Amino acid sequence: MSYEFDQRIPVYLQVIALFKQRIATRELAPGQEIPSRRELAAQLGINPNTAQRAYKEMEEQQLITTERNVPSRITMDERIVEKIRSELLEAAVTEFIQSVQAIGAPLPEVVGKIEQAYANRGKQHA
Amino acid sequence: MKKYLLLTNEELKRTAKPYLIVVAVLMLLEFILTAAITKMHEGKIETFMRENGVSMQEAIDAYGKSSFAQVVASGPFLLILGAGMMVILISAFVIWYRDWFGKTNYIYRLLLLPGSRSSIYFAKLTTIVLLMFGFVAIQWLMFFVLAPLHDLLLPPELFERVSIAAVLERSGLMYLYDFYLPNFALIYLFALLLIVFIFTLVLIERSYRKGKKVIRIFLQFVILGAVYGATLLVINSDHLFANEKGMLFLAFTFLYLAFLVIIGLRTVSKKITV
Amino acid sequence: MLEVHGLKKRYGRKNVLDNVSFTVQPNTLTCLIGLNGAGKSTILKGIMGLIPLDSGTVLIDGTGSKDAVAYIPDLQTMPGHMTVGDALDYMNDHYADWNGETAESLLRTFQLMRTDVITDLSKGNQAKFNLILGFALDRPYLILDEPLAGIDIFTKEQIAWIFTSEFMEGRGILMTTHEIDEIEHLIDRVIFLQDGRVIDEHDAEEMRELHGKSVQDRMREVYAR
Repeated sequence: MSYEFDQRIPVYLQVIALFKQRIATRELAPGQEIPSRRELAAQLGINPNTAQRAYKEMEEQQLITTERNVPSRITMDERIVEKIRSELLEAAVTEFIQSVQAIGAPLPEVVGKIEQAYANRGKQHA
Repeated sequence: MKKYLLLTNEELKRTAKPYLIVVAVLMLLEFILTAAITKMHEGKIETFMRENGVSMQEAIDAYGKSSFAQVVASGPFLLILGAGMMVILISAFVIWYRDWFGKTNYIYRLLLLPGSRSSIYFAKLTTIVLLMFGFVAIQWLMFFVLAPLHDLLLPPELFERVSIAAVLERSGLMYLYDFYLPNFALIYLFALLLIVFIFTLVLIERSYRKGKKVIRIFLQFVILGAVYGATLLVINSDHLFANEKGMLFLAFTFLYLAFLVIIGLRTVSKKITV
Repeated sequence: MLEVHGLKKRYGRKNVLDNVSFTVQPNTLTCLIGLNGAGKSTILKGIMGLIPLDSGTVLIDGTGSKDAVAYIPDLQTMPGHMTVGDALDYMNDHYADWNGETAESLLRTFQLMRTDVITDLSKGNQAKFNLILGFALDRPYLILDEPLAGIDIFTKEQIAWIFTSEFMEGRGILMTTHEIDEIEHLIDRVIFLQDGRVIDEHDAEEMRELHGKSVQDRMREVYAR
């Protein structure tokens, strides 16, 4: 089953974004083994070179650790995990605010709506 | 060498079925024809006897006995043999064209194979030559089956037994079975020449477009004419002995053959296109 | 790398290929894109020596030898009566770099049987069979002519899968296709062809990163005239 990619954003960046998301939600736990480049390419339906590039970049960003002849792992460093969470949250907030600005609602109203939505979400999940 | 053998094997495999079917048909026709001609002769004798109220011996004096040689020398029989030769010549065309126009584009596969492309040429040439010799050999065997058949179908008074040698001579087929090596070589060299000439034309046709194609093919005929024109001119001059003439003819033929093969090889290596 | 330089081919007055030059790097998937009649197929056949070129050079890792390239056309090239098994044996006989294990593995994945008669196979299965004939050669470069043309969706997915698989590794691939949608995310490099000329060439990820454009976006731009 292949992941649906946006054709206007570099694929390798989308792969990294996918990993960041999973790291932030702990779907990928710190220290967890990740698939080889080859396996990842097959799983996501991408060019193995792209997988290679994504892993290289993630290694540079210290999201993953690689050693010879051993499967790569998610970083154990909690600070980095926290940083990612924080980044994703910020990005979501920035996007949200951009779309909300057009409506011109005051902050308390916006916060109220957010709290309501969270409460409802909780009910749905219950 | 390995490529050549593999390709020859493949060509023979592909040709086996249609070839054997044609051979079977021709053999069957010869069988039927032999019986028919033989019985027709008998019929004519009997009719003559009846109509003229004469004895068989008198009828025989009029019509003559039947011999297998007559059967083979007859028009229809020679037609079958001619058809056999035509099949070989047509095969020389088909063995190439089916790789472009057959069910698949095998020519792609052939041209992509590693190694020299000459193997392709020689594999196809070998196949056609083998088909030709196959026909000749099978026909030879057929004579040994059909002659007794003829004899069996008639009462002893009506036929004369002839040797296969006589059969060949009276039908003009002795050229195909002349086992005197120089003659054999010359005759089959000609056959080879014919096949190679066809190969050359086909390869030119498959390599060039429209105008160039026509000109080059025309040129081949011009060269053919020139070579043999010159050869015959030289040979018919008075300065040579008979066997010297024969050798010269052979030499010219060899050179021309080599020339055609070289052109064919060059074309298939560098000019051919899918 | 596979280098193509100054390829020219004329048919009568028409310049089917007009000074075409480009390179294919190892370990990349390069796509030759162009409208019908732009000369894509001619380039591939010219590289493989199936069509003689009027001029130009083709160098594969520095030599003129074609032994490092495998070609996968979009038509059937094995003799008509052959079964899949016969064809694999044929390849094994002729090619020193034929990898029987790769062939068997792909045979299983594509669910083809050795006993299948090639010309009885559906178009999709024939396409998959052709892929095996190319991929099972241990050669660093692979050239594919329209591998996805006229094939049903499910078979297309199977074929596209091979470009994400281990069989891609260590290969430089050059392909032509009209089905850019299916493989857009797999392409590393794009070469645009028009009327026998290269009119644009770029790295797909770079185009996305720097300009936010997909291959198809860029295609529309480039061919908009």
